[in-house]
Amino acid sequence: MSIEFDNNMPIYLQIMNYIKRQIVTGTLKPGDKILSVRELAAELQINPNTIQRTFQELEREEIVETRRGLGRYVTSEESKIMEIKKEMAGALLDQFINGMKELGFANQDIVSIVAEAVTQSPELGQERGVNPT
Amino acid sequence: MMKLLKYDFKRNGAKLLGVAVVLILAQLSIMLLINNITLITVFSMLAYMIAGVILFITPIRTYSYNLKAYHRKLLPVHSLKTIISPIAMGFICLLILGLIMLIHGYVYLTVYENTRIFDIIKMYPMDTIMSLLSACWIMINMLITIFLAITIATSIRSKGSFWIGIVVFFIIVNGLSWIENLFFGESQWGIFQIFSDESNSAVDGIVTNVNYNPSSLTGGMIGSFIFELVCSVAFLYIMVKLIDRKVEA
Amino acid sequence: MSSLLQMNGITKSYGSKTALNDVSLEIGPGKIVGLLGSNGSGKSTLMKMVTGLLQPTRGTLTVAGLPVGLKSKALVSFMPDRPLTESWMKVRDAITFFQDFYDDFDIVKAREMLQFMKINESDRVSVLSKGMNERLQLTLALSRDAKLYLLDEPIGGVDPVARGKILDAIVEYYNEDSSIIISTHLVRDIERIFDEVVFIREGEIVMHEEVENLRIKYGKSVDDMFKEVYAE
Repeated sequence: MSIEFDNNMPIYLQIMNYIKRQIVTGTLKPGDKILSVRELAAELQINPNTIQRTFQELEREEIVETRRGLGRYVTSEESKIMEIKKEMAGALLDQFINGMKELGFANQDIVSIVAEAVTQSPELGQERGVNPT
Repeated sequence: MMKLLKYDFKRNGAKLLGVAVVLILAQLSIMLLINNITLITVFSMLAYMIAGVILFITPIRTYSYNLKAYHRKLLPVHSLKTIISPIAMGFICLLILGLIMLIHGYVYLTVYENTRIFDIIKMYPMDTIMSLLSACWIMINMLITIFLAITIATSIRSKGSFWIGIVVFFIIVNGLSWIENLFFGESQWGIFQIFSDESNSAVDGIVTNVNYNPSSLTGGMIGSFIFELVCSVAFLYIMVKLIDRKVEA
Repeated sequence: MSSLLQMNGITKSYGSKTALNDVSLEIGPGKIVGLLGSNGSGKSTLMKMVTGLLQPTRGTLTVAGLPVGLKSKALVSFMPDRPLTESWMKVRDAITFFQDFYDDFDIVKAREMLQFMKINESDRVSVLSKGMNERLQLTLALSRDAKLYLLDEPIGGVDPVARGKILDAIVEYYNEDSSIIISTHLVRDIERIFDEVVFIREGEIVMHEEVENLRIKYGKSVDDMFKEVYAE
């Protein structure tokens, strides 16, 4: 496990995103136990309180649940995981669209460019998990 | 306290062992290589004196090191123990040296059938014991006074604090000896006289005392002793306060 | 729970020179606090005052509600800028020394940490390299179950490998009820393990902020803030 942190941004947000990405990509599966605060802190060389905060936020978003005395687990609710995917896709799209607009493309152009790119490399589309089940 | 003492000994372990080895070798070579009895006595005493001086300086150096050492100052240990530990170390070392010297002397005198000293001791047993006790007391007192001067010098952060310490030492010694004289007259027992009167070293003091007037425990002596005791306790108190409030590492 | 460290209007001066000027600081439990400042800014002076090696000229200071003294010394574990060991000692003796004097010394933790740090118990302290020696000093300081740990430049003079090890150890071995104050001028390598940072410049505290808040508020890393504060 490795992650490059950007010290200019709150670390807890970066770890949240990191864990969400692991869930989305399937490295962490629904119902999996996740590392303890201490383990993760030691592994990432991060302040344990920051990890604690990360977990609290993830719990608030109901992505992670605490089972008393057992530890923390990834939620088993598929809908939650879908939500993360949508959220992450949304963030990616925003970034992409903004970038394209900066380059001077109109909305219509962007749509056609994307359509073209997806049809030209269908395996790319699958890889990214564009078609949800 | 015992724990501090253990580490004071451990730090000086190599040195103390060295002194012991050199002393034994010196005594052996003196015995084997020299024929003249007078010379043997002189050299043998000289070797003991040198060892004694080293053993006397060791606790002083240890104390002054401990005062500034982070790992000692950080310990949750009462400052009084910081003072007493090196004194105890010096006392134990010198006591052992003294015992070795006595045994050596006894064997030596028996071999050469020179029993005049034994006769003196038998005549004045009380005085002999008092002399030995006073020697111990003198030593402890000297260490306390020297420690006080070191503590005061260390409390002062300016340059030349070393010289201030020396000056303080002589002021204390001479001042107290003056007071002691004033109250208790010319007693041979006062340790501060021994310090201030250059013609009279501690060793001389003991030797003189052996042949001293057998009237034993005079009022002056007891008064003098109590005065010194009170002074020592006051010194210890001042040192503890200084260590807690003023001595900085 | 009340604060572990409370400093009110602490001033330390040597003659006309002022090392700390009217410093007030409060540290709660369970925090890793970075005490950041360039050399000579007063970081060490502050730490030495908390541990009783120096006396404040003015102001009050309490550790877990206690004035600095025998009781507070039993609660504070300090890794100063010079070794806590003596040259005659082997690593084993240094461990025993700590065990002899500190009731809260955890020998199991110490052994584990020595292993983690790859330090040999039978080595003489005087032959250890600078990096190894710093690891040993850290082991000694962190093997106590203290309330407040003060580490003065723990990654100052060591190579990146040792630095990683030391950071690992700090995160791994500190306990959650206590707090650690770490002084450093090498901010970049270590800023991710801090909860809070205290910027100290010319004997005065110029900023005391939660690290994540600082990132949110200024959109900058602690390192960048540090450079900004000390730029003049």
